[in-house]
Amino acid sequence: MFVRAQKGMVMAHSKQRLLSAAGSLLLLFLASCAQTPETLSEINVLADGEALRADAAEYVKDQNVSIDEAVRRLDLQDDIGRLEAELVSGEPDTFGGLWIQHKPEYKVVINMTGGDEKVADYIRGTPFAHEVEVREAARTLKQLETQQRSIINTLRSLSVPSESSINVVMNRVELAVLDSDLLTSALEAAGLLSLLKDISVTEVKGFVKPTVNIYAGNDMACTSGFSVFDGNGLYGISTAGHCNDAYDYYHSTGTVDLRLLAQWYGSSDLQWHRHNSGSHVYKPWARDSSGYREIYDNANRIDQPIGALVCKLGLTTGYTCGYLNSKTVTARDPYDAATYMRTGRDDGKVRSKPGDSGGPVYVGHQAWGLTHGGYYDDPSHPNYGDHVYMATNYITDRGLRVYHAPR
Amino acid sequence: MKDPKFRLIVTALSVVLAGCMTTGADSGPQQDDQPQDGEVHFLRQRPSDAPNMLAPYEGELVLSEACLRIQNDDGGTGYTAIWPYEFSLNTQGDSVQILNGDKEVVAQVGDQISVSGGEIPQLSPDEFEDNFIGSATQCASPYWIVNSDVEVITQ
Repeated sequence: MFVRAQKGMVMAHSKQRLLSAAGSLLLLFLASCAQTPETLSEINVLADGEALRADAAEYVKDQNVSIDEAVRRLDLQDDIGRLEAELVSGEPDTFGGLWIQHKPEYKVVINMTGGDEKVADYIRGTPFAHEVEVREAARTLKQLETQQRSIINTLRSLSVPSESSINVVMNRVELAVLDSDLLTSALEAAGLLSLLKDISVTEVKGFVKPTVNIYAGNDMACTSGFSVFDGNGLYGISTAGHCNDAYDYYHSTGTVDLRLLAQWYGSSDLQWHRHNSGSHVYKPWARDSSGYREIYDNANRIDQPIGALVCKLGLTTGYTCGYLNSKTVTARDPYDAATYMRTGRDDGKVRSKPGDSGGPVYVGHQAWGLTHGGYYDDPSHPNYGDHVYMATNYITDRGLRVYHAPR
Repeated sequence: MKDPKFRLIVTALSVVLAGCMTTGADSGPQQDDQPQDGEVHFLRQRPSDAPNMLAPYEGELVLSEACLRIQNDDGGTGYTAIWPYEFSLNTQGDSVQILNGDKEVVAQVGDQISVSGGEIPQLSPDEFEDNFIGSATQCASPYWIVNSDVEVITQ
């Protein structure tokens, strides 16, 4: 608009026209500089000092000190952390733990069971040397850690659920249990009640629930199948339809209580579940021989050629592979659709056994199916040792999609 | 009603309907449907070359209203067992025993057992009798198709 107005201002004489044009160009240039760049995205990157000041502002809310004092104290945290590491390695037989006290006065407190004078050597020249207090403690950090491990291992062997931590300030191990009577009776029966000496016990209603990764190839009593999602974007975990309905998902990071969402039979030997509570993450992964692999896409039954090498992971037989030798196996009634896939190998080994049902079948990063069955109990059977699975298109037939990782 | 063909059809229908309305005891079930012992309904699979399903399940073997069920303590309903074709039942004496194809006792009522196989849903009576030996009306669903590797966990 500004340019169009400038066009109206061109003078009759050539010099004036040139001047005017030059002026117009200058004005145009200045105007463009003044415009807000609507197409530029503004990224606000905090400089180093600004980030600490932002954190310090939070500290000020709690501790009622100036922002500069807050910055100073936060700045010391790196050095204080280094001091702790040095004391752990340098004074293991006397160091009882370290913490930062904020109220009623700011100080760094160090627990020692002896050798207090050695602390001076560690803090000499540090900016917080004048703010250190050494206290006498009954137990070293090493002793507390040993005590914690001992009680954890003992309670695990006695099947007593518990959680524990070391309270450095109180210089003790703290134990949380669901049933304190069970704790004492179990330890008493084992003659180990003395393990509770100097341990603080609290009865709680529940423990911290970790976030568990949910993916194919793990323990659902059957084997967990691929992570899937429906048309509403609801994620869940699949397994074979013929598996028992009531399941938990077990992983090294925790146990997840599941609820059944739907179940099918026939060609789609399929069911899927979702966690009942807590926050857990469904992953586009499948366990294999060395860890897990990401799943990038699927292969339908029609795209799986006879003779292809197909692998699977099952809870009982683990990671096994075989060659596709049939795409028209009729499963037991009422799964008697002749759409099941069979793999075999001339090594006499049994490739699937009870517990493997529902587990992932794959080739590379491609999902090929879920384990349905096998021939494991009759060595005279012509297909003895073979593995049978349902192809993945019978998952999508039910309105579910296998969760894929981005490549 | 004067048409002889029509009368024949009506008569045939009447006979069929009369047969359908009789009780199980009166209708004389087929030999395959008859419980091997008057007190226990022993449901079995028909001979099959199909692959075994591979789901695991554990529970107590109970006799409930003449039906053999595997009852887990997971809060679920448990399953009516459908045994392998070659299995049989022994109800002599005080115990109810399950025998495998070699006539060995693999479990008895009261045992905690581990089985494998798979769950099947409720089927219509016709579907059930097409696929299994026994009647769907004898014992309630859900059913568990039991593989031959039945093991006792505790007695």
